[in-house]
This record gives sequence, structure tokens and C-alpha cells, in this order.
Amino acid sequence: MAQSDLQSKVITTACGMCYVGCGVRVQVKNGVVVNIDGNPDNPVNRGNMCAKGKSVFMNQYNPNRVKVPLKRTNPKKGFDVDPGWQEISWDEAIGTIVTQLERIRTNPKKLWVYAWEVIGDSNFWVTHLGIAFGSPYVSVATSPVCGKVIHPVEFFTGGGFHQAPDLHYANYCILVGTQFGIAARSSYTHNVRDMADARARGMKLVVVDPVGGHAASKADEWIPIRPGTDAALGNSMLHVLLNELGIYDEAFLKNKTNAPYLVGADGRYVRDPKTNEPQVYDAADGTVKTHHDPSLRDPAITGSYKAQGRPARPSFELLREHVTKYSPEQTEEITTIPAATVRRIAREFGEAAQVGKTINIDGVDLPLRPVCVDWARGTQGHKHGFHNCWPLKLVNIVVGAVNVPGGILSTGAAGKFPHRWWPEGGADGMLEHGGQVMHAATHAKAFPGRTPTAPSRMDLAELFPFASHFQTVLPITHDDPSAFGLSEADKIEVLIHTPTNPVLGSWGDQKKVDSLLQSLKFIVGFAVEINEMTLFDDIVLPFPTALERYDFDSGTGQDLLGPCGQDDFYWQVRQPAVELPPGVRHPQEVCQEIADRLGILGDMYRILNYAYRLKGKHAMQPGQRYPVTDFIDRTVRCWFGEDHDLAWFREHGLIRHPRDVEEAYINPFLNARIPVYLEHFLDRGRELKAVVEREGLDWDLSDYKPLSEWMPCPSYDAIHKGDYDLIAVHFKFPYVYGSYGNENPWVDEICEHTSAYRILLNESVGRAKGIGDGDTVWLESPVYKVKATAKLTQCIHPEAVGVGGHFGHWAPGMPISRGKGVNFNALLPLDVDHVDKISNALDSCVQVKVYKYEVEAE
Amino acid sequence: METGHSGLAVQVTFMGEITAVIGKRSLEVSLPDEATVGDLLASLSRTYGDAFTCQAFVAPGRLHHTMLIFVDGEEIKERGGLSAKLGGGKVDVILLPMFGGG
Repeated sequence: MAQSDLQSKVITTACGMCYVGCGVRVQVKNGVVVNIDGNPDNPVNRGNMCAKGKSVFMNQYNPNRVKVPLKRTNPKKGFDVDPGWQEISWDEAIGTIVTQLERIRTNPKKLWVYAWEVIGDSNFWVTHLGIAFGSPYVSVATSPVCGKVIHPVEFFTGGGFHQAPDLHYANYCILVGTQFGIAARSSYTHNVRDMADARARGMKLVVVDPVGGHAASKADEWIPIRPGTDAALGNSMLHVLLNELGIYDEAFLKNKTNAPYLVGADGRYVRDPKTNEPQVYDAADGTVKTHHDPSLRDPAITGSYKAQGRPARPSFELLREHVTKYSPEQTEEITTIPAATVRRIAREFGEAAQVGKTINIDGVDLPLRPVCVDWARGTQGHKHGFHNCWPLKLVNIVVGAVNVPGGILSTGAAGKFPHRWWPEGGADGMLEHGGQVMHAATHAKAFPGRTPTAPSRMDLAELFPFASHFQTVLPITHDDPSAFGLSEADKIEVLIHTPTNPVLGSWGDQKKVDSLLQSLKFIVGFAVEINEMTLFDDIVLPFPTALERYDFDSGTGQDLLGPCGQDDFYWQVRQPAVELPPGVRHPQEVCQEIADRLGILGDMYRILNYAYRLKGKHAMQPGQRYPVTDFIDRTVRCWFGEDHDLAWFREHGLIRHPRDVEEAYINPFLNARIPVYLEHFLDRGRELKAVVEREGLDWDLSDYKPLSEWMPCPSYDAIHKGDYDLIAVHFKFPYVYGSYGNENPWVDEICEHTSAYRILLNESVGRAKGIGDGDTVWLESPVYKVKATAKLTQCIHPEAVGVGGHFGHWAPGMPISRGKGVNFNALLPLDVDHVDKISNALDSCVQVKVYKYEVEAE
Repeated sequence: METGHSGLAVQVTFMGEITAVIGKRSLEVSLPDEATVGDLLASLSRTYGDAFTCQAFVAPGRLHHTMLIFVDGEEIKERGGLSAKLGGGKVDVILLPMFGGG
């Protein structure tokens, strides 16, 4: 490779092998990367590195990397079609892209931008190119599962982007369907050490998961659960806490939640006739008054009252009554978790919460609630994903373990440096506005939600008033727009995407994905390698690796998913360790050229200035083009002062700032309540019902309820009917991130040695089927049948089949990973019946059969 | 769209998700000389109905947090919000998408 200076040096920069963006020190000899170590000064990873990051230079020097723009010469598209790539100049590539965008200029609804790129400025530059063009379909989220429930829930309960256990103070932690702090998720390399320290000091870790994976291996107790039944577990724990043990944080519920809001027989708040504000019963003087009445002293959360001449009860009373349906004995039939186990962990959790106890940190008295239930992808990915998760959040809320020491914390919610960002209350005194360090990272907002209207969008966003992202249904609506009141004219025609691989990492049924991608008239994709998504591209633009790039925002560890508690806030700039290959350009500059040629450069800058909080002399000006170094230089100076320019960051790597108690534990300082009762679901549901009836749409409205019920997934019904006998679920490895980075010989070697490419089958189930460890089997769902290698284990629920990672590559440009493992998503039916009507999540548990492979069966 | 008034010809550029309702990226709207951003949005609500109103407002007079409006290049929060005068008559109405995980 050409390196003009052929220097030997150590560069401080950010890893790019997952979204965390750990600090790294890259050793370069004669212009070639020879080693990478963690940067001990970076507060997110504190010098630690994972296997993905350590092996990054095998991706860097991938001989199959895309290094020049390509165009397809074969107009036929498909998973197994050779695109007939031909190298072209950047001028021709961008000229072709601009011509296609000009073609749809009068109807920007024809453009779709799909811009998750692990994490870097392209997340924002590519999206803002799409926003400026006028596309309504601009998505940074590529997965129909990731974040679908957690973001909206976190927004109205914590004000941040995600949740994380406070491992500094927690004494009892339950992980449900997640491997937080052990194998996956936010600030992974940070939380791994905190989790280990917490366990070493005696924190009890309970893992509830169909798969006894990495997290279970570190837990004090692994509790296998039938897939998709987490709501029943959550409600049952609530029942034990509230009704059997009487453990709840009364002061917190009275003053920090809507528990005292009076609810009438129609399920809605009793409201003050003059102000329309919700009313409560003040036990101190026996009167009904508004929730924010200055004279309010003792809002009742239990009992029955009369308000405005009608019977009314506090929200909490309704919750308490509601969960009586979920006794541990009844729940055992749903979850398969023994009643005694549910009762025990609920008691242990409640006792460990130490309701009423306080702690003094830095001179500030705070509630101490050293317990938390954490959940993520495993609980979200279900037909009723929202309600499958919400009771688990409520378990934290009822004991007051939300954004206080030891409890569940909200990531990225608040800060004071380099500017102030803070959650705020809104309608009905409830938490409504989340905090965000960058405007670009706009939060999901599920309270009070949007008013539904007739669909005019191919993603049916109008029918998902609480969802954060909407791309899940695109393959469904493109298949038959008329079924949703749309027409052929509404179809998307042009797609711009970043280098990730949604064909393997997103959606489900690949026949529908193939059909969607074939229906698009023009696709342009940035690419590091020719993966399965790239096979559909008309133009391929080479994308720099993380070791070649500049990014102002170099990872979620610093913006949305940082370490919790009083770990330092930091900002790290990504800088190149090696030069760009001659044919590769920085994506920020590519976006500028496209926007400039389209005449929308000034518009794009206006939104980017807002996104990056660029003001005054630092704002980008219409008519100018900025080298990426200029853009980053003006941004860091704008944020951190003129003495912290790009040169400063190139030398120091990052800036740190200690977080005070208020930033770390925000709940006591929030002037807003959080919900235990989702009254607004009733209003949005009523409005949605009117819309779908008017439009003649067949739409399930059963999720629009203020208190969660367990509702079965189609897979649950299928195995109970006997059509299938197993449910396939997905799980993660600490050394694999999505389908990104699989083409790495070191990662491949780890996967081979750890049997990661095999599917997990309960040992006794396998033996009963005549399947032995290492046998080749058929794995068959309603939409996909694939050969797999079985790994028999006791560490999986007997009704589940575990499929890890995002494997199953077939693209010719990925010779190392091709033909290895199974693509889990391909097993998933992709239709409206498998989409959560609240969160837009795709049901990610699916009924399957597993049987021994016989040659003649093919 | 309101026409026939000799007042201000407002050039409105739509970006982001709001174009799903408007169907195009730019529009000229005629409004009285002293019209405000609130007047412009009310006019758009009358023309595009609930589809626009529900995208723009969380409640009467309260914009959704993802609505971003510039008048002559300046965000309206700096100019008095919905009561901001339309000034030179160049308005950007942007509905930002929400960021999400991968």
C-alpha cells in the first residue's frame, strides 16, 4: 500500500469494530499497522480491549476490500447474481448518483437512506444528506429489533437513550434476555470490568434467558425461560412484591410517579375541569386536587375515592390489582419457571432493595436502591415486544430503583459539560423531553406519542404512534401497498446505504428482502467489502476503515451509551492511523459533493450545524466545501474552546470531565414524574382505531392498553398446536458484532474454536430425536430451511434452539466467512402479524423443527 | 393553499419526514405581511389537514420535539418560537428522524 510518509508511530484514536468506540493506541511501523492496544486514559474501556478490536487490522488488510468506486454492469439483481462490477472514477460514480437523485427530485418520498455504520460521522452526514433532500425515510437504525422498545421506554422513564445497571452500588442484578456487562451491549469493555468487580464484592447476578450463554456462565443463577414469556415473569414479580410481600417505595411512587393519579371507570385520569391536569387524592386533608397543587402533602396511591362525584382509584391501585392475575403458580405454566423460583427471586430482589435507605455521595443524600432488572434484545423481539418488556421496567420503578445509586440508570440522559443537556417534564407533569449531548441523536419519544393518521408512508409510521423507528414493515408494504391504502406510486425507488449488512443483520424472510431490494430502481452503497447487501448495489462507493478515518463522534460510549454513574464524561475524536488508500474518500466530503451538485449544500449545512450544535463563526457556511479536518476542527473548538482544536485532540486523543452526583443520578433532581400506568396508550389506541376503521385496515389494537398483559407470540401457539416442537432464538457472542467484521480470520478462528457456528440444542431433546453432538441437521422454520451443525448442551431451555451471531454469508467477496453458520434472521416470518404494533419490533422467536440431515431429504 | 393576498410570499422548504405529508420539497405560501410562524403552520394545517397537524404538533401550540423550523436561516427558538415573524420569507420546516441503535 502507498504510504507517503511510511512513519513509525503510535496513534491515539477510536476503535471501530462495534458501536462503543473504545480508545485505542495503534502502533504503526513503516506505514503499516502492527499492533493495537487499549488506551488506559479512555474512561470507557480503561485500556481494555475485546477480541474484535484486537483483530481489527485483519479487517484493515482484507485483500478483498473495496478501494475504488464500482458500478454494476449486470442489470439483473438477486442473491446469487453476479453484479459484473466495473471500476469507475469518483466523478462518474457521483455523477450517476446525482442523476438518479435529480430524477426523483420532485418527489423526495422516493428516497430512502439507511445509515447505520457502527458509529462515526457518516451516521449523521449521510442521514442529513437525505433529510436535506427531503426524504422522509431516513433511518439510522438498521435492525427491526435493536432498541425498538428500550428507547421509547427509557425516554419516558429515565430521559436517556438506554438503560444500564449501576454496577458501582447494585447488590442484586437480574438480566433478562441480555448479556449486559458480560458479552454485549453499551460500553461493553467498561461494563465487563464493573460487572466482574460487582460480582467479586458480592453482588448476586441472576440471568433469565432461554440460552445459558456467556452471561449465564458468570451468574450466580441461570433461570431458563420459555421464549417470549417475560411479561408473565415481570407481572408475577410485581404481584409478589406488591401483593404478597408489600414491598414498594411508597415515597417514590407518591412523589416521582403517576401512581397517585386518579383513574376513573373509563381507565382515564380524572382531570381538573378548569386546567385539565390529572387529579390526586390528598390524604393529608381528604381533598382531591391537581398533581401539582402547591398544598399537596400526601398523595394517596392506594384506596378508592370519589372525585367529581364519580368513583376513582389511584393508578398504583389499578396496577396492584392487575398483577394479581399473575400468581407464580399461574405464571409457571406460561414461563416454565417454577413458582417457588419466581417467589424467591422477587423476595430476594425486594429485600435487597432496602427501601427507605439513603446514601451520601459527595455530600449529597440520595436514595440507595441497590437492585435492578435489566433487559434488552431478547425481551424486545416479540410480537408484543413492548408489553413483554414494560412489566420488567416496572419491577425497578415500584421499588424506586430508577436513576438512583444501585438501580437501573438511564444512559446519556443528562450532562453539564461541554454544554447542559437535561430531561424535562411536559404534559400532565410527566417526563417528556429527554436529554441529548448532540442534537443529531434525537431521542425516541413515546409520551405522549403522535396522533395516528391514515398512512401515506411506505413504512406505515402513522400507525405506530409510539415507535422510534419504522423500517421493519418496508418489505411487507412494498410487496402489496394496496393492502395498506397505499399505491404503486408511493413506492421507494432509490436507496443510499452505509457499509453495514441489513440483509443478514436485519429483517427476516429473505425472499421478501430480496423482493424489496429488487424492486428499488437504484441503490448506492458505501462498502468496505462486497457483502450480501452490496450485491444489490448499482454503485458502490469505497468506505474508509476506522483506522483511516476522521470522526468527530467516534462512538456511543461518549454520546448515548456511556458508562453510568460517576464515571467521567469524555469526548474522543477518531483520527487516522494510516493514510486513506488512493481511491478512497472521507464520507463527509463525499456527502458535501453530492449535496453541492444537487444544490442543497446550504440546506444540509443548516441541519448539520443544528445536529452538531455549530454556532456563530464555527457554523458551516453555504457555498463552501470543508475538508473533513476543517469540519472536525471547527466542531471541537465550538464545543471545547479555541484551545482545544483538532491538533490538540490529535495529540491527546480525548478530553475528560468528571460528572457530579446530579449528572450521575438524575431522578432526585428531575422535576417530572414517570409512569406506572400508561394512560396515554388509551387515547392513541382510540385514535388509531378510528383511523384503521376509516381506512378499512386489518390492524391489531390489542396492545393499546395501560397495563401490560402477557400475550403469546405465534411461535408459542404453534408449538402448543403441535405443528412445531421448538422455538428458535438468537443470542450474541462477545467476539462478534452483527454481521459486521465476520470476514476476519482471527474472529473466524475464535468462532470455529468455540463452536459459535453451531446451533444449540438441549441435550436430552437432541438425544430423543436421534441427534448427536456435531451432527448435521435440518433447521426448518415456516419460511426457511437450512443445514446446520448441532451442538448438544444442557445450557439451553428444552423448547428452544439457539442460533448465535449473524452468520451464513454467501457473498463471493467474503471467502473466509462464506458458508459458515446460520443466518438467524432468515428464519423469521416477515408479515404484519409478526410485528409489534407499539414498537415496530419484528418477532424474533420462531417455531422450528430440527431433524437429522439425510442426503435424500434434500 | 391560501392565495389572493398581496402580503408576504413565503418560500417554504420541507425536509425530513414532513415531506411524506407535503409530497414535495418546496412550496410558496401567501400570507399577510405581519404573519408569524404560527400563522404559516396554521395555513399548512388547513391545507394538509390532520396529517400535517399531527406530525407537527404534540398538542395545540406545542411543536413535536423533532420539529425544527428556521426563518431566514435562524432557528425559531432564537426568534420567539411560533410567534416569530416570517421576516424575509424563507422558511425551512424540518421533521427530524429519530436516532436509533443498530
